Amino acid sequence: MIAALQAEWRKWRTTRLWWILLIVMAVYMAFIGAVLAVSSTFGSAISPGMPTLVGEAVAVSVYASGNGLGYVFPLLVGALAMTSEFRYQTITPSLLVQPNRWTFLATSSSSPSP
Amino acid sequence: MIAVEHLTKLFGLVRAVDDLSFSVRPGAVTGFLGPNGAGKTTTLRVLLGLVVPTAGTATINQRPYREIRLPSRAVGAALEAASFHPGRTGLDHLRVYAPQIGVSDRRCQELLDLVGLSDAAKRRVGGYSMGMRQRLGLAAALLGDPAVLVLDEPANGLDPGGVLWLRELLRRFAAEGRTVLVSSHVLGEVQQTVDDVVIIARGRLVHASSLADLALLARRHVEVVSPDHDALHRLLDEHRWTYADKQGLVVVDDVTSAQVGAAAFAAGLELHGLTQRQLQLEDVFFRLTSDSSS
Repeated sequence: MIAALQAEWRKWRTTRLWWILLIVMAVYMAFIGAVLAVSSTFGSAISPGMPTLVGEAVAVSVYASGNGLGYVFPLLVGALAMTSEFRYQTITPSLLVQPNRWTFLATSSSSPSP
Repeated sequence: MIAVEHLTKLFGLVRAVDDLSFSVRPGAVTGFLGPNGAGKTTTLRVLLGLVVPTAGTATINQRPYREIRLPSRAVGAALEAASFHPGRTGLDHLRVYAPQIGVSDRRCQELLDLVGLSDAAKRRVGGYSMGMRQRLGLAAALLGDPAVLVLDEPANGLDPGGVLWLRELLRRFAAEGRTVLVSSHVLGEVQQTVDDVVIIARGRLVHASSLADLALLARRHVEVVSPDHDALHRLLDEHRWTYADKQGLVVVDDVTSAQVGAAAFAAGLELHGLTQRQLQLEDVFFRLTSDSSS
């Protein structure tokens, strides 16, 4: 089981996708954070009805957006890891080293957690 | 030791494998032959626990693949040459499977050296040629140092030098007492490698024997041309040879050109043509695999 998790980790780290996705995630989250920060502080200047946040409230809402929106990335990681197994037929050697389908499914689906 | 017993696999209404039984002995290279679509790959996939059979069993050392603990240490398999992530390097491809096989990264590098891919270890598989992929697949199969080797069309895409290299590698494995099963759709490709042959067509077994026994099925005959037709017939009748007329020449079964030549010379018969013909093993293979339609 530990060996299978190690294999999943290696599968992920040995392709280019992981750092591309990491950059995309960093850029995307920074962008969302910036937009939120700007709109919550200067929002009322653009549309008068919008509430303006100050001080700690801004910081909390901006930094919490990572939890609210960042969860899609592990989800993407998992989906891409599994679909690429099918796309490149690497599922064949994966099942040869781990013929137990349940163990394979369990380790594959827990791979995005780190 | 590989044993396949009464194996049947249906894909919908298609009988991919039909009541197939054969066994593969250790210490020899066995060729698993048949035309495209004969059921070779399906049989191998059942053997490796990738496909569930409709009926029958396929076992390795009396156990189905899925019940073997650390299966990659007992059985090395290379199925299709396409099972690689193109963005991964050759070395990383092996490293991905190393933890579950229980081998070190050093062993991965050793295997790449063995299959002659040391220089390409750090290159992405997407840029590999077909032959290099075959070699990488073989390296992956050998990672766990298995006693049983199952290879699907391993010579596909290899250049003549590569085929020779593969032949020597497989011969060495067999000499070490390992079991080697190699599939192919061309007999000529593995003819000089295999000791035994298992030939299937349309999912059924048509022939299983040693290669030497298969060669016995290859009949030899002699084609004779003589201006004196009647004298030639008389001569052949005298020697009780079976023959047939075919477009100006006479085909004599089961003799050598030396026998016919000597007989003609002794009888003072003029000959204009005397050709020894040997039915090639490939022809025997073709006859066996096309016969089964009836």
